Amino acid sequence: MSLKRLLILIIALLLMLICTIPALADTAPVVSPQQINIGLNFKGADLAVSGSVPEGADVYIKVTSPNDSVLELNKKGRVGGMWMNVENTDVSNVPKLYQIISSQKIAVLPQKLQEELGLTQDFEPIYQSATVEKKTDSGNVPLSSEEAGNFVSSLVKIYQESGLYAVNENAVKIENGKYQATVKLPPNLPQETCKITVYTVKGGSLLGSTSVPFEVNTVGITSWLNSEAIFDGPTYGLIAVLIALFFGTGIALLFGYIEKILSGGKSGGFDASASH
Amino acid sequence: MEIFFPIARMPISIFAILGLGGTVGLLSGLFGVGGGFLMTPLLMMMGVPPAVAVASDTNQIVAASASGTLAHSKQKNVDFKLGFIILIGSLIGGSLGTVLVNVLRSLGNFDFVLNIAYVVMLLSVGSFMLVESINSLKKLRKKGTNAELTIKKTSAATKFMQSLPMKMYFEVSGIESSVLALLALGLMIGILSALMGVGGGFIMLPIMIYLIGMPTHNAVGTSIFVIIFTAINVTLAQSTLNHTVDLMLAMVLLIGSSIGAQFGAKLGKKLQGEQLRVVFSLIVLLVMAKMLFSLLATPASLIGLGGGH
Repeated sequence: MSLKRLLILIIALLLMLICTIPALADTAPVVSPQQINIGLNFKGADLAVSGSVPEGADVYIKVTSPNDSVLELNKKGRVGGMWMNVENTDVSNVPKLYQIISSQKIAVLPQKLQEELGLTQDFEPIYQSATVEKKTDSGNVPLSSEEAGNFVSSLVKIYQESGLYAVNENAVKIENGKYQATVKLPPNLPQETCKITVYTVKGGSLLGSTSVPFEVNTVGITSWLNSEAIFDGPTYGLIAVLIALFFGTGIALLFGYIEKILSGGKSGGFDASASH
Repeated sequence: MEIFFPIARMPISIFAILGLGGTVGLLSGLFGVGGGFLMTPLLMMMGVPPAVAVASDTNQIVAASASGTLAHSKQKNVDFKLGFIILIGSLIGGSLGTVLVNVLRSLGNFDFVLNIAYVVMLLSVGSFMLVESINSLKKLRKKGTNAELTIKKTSAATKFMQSLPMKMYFEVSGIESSVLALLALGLMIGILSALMGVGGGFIMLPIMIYLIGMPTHNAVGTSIFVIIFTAINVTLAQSTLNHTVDLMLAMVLLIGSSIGAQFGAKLGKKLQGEQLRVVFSLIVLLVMAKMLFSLLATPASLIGLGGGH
């Protein structure tokens, strides 16, 4: 009897292994494209994320950028009837990109898991990590958590409006053990290595998580202008001036030429009213 | 069709920028003013970061004034001696102004100062033009002829100008003027150019004509000569210090504005100037009102991103 029991146990364990091994291996998401190129015609991008998911599990996808840049936030106040910035702050440890896309409501997840994974409706982790420092004459002074909260919530709102921050529940499709989702990336995407993390959750507990990076780069003339403008201002300025002079003179000569042709070589202007 | 502008870091419809350039160019061709003072506020209204709007507009002015200079140097309208003295002032002013932009940006109140400067400037230019054009319309009705406007010199201001030291005679314009006054004018034009992204012609011209007493055709030619070098200096300074020149934006604006300006210049010869001037001054005042409103109205959100992005 005990042998039979042991056998059943082994078979059960084996079955579980068989189920979980491919589940773990296959959740590695396929992201396409893996590189986002910001060129002249960039209007934002759609990332397709897909992979397999265990039977009955839900998929939560988190898209984030590194939080290593320092931002400036200004608070306006009324001075002499006019609105001007009266408080300047440096905000750090806030990612520019933070999106959650899921196959199920976030509220279904236990509170603890939400916090642990950073999957919350109200971007709670941002409030936890952010530091807000007020700029004063005697250096930067950290704000109290309540004041800082005001600044962070405004920042979150700004990012939500521009599409960098988003929560999109029920936007992951699951069919025959496969999931599929589209991540909408806005044009003001940070140029960094961003990350897609896929969590599979069943019955309120985490089954597994995998993440894939994707690159955001500028390409072509956009990339050249960008790096030149930032890293070699004087040369960029000189190029800008020369191109402007060339264009300006060129257009003047071109119009003089057109005028000559239109007037049949005679002096006098071409008729501007003809264009109406 | 949208273009992602690399320094403004946003996609904008190419037709919107061409249209904006074209409209401003048409107006400037019609009225003989640079139009930079309309371009910057309109770019800002389209969502371009203010510092980028200002610097890219200056870049565009380099190109626009290059075509203008070509036309004027042929007609020998440029008083190089007088222009050179103003230019010395404006090169210093332009460099100072760029530093000012940098300081204001780090203080977080560049947008505010820019808005106020625009409200003051558009209000004075707009109302000056409105009064002047309404007056000349009245005159035209009385006389019933197309007689040219006689320029009235404000005697008190002229006396003040004559009392200034360091007089010099300028052969091309045939006038005598204080070198100090010319340097001061240049300094002001340079600062305005860097701070507001304007060529400064609309301020330089009235001062040259009414205060310094230059003949109008010399004033126009000489101001363009000053503007082109001021704009070159400011473009270089903004690129070096503030990294805010969007070359792509400037070039698309330029294509629009140069086409607009060509039509504007031709059209201006056919239409009656005074009525158009009334319309133009109303447009200027309208933009002013919009900017004043943004200063006075309670903002939707008190906290906003700084640093131009």
